[in-house]
Amino acid sequence: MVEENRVEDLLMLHADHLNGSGYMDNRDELDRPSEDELASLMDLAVKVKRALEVRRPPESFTTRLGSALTRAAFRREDREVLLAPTTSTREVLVGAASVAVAGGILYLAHSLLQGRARSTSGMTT
Amino acid sequence: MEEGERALVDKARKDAHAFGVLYQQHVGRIYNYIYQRTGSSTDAEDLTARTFTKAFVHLESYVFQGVPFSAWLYRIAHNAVANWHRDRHRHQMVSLDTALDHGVEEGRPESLAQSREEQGVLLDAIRSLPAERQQLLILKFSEGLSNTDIAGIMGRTEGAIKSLYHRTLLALRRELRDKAG
Repeated sequence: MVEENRVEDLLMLHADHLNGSGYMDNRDELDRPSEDELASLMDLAVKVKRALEVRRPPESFTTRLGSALTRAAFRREDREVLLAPTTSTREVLVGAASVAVAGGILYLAHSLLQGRARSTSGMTT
Repeated sequence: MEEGERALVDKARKDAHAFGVLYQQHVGRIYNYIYQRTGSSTDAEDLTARTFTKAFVHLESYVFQGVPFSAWLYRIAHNAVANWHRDRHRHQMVSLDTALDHGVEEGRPESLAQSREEQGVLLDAIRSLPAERQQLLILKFSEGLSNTDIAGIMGRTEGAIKSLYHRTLLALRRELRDKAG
């Protein structure tokens, strides 16, 4: 009786062998399966491999879908470029804000100085 | 996920050309997976288009989880096929490909027709297996992926994949014996 784990290992080795990969050290064991059970499952695996033949999509389909997706991706790229604030826009905004703040400070300072000047002249007269 | 693939996916979020490359790398395998699950080239084209459209829309929210990018695409395809099966149950449509595959094979040598018929029965049995078992057989035999890749795609350990493969063959054999009566 082949152990459960051993069966799993052997079946997977056999599957890899069907795929043409993973050389098996225990090929001899696979060539002479110790049990009918194992041989029956390996035989089924061969049929499954044959039945699941690779099907690739028609060239016309992949080209058509690829073009549609790429067009959509370009549209998204364009939209993001339009929506994202550019460096120059950011600079203009920061510059305008700085000027406004500086203007406010100057206006405040000017108002304070004028007020002080008025009060000083009022005291002297 | 390889660094190269990860960088490409990152780039594809914003760059149309990079998305095109990603599409070219995966479209063949996704189509094949869907074809094997549905047995219809028309439906495979439709569901492949849906899969990539969904991937395109949701790529920005894609999060790396240390598995190949294809795992994410297979999951989208897997869900698309599940929805297709649900709708198909409602409409009970028979695809032309299935009808042709399983129909009378006029003009063919008898042995070839018989082997095609056997293959049709086997494909029917495979498609009646639970979705994850079908996925395993397709990834293993049709795509020829390694156990490591399959484990990554299916979110299981390699040991679990081996065990599932064994149980899948047992279930398939049982299904075929039941069909044979």
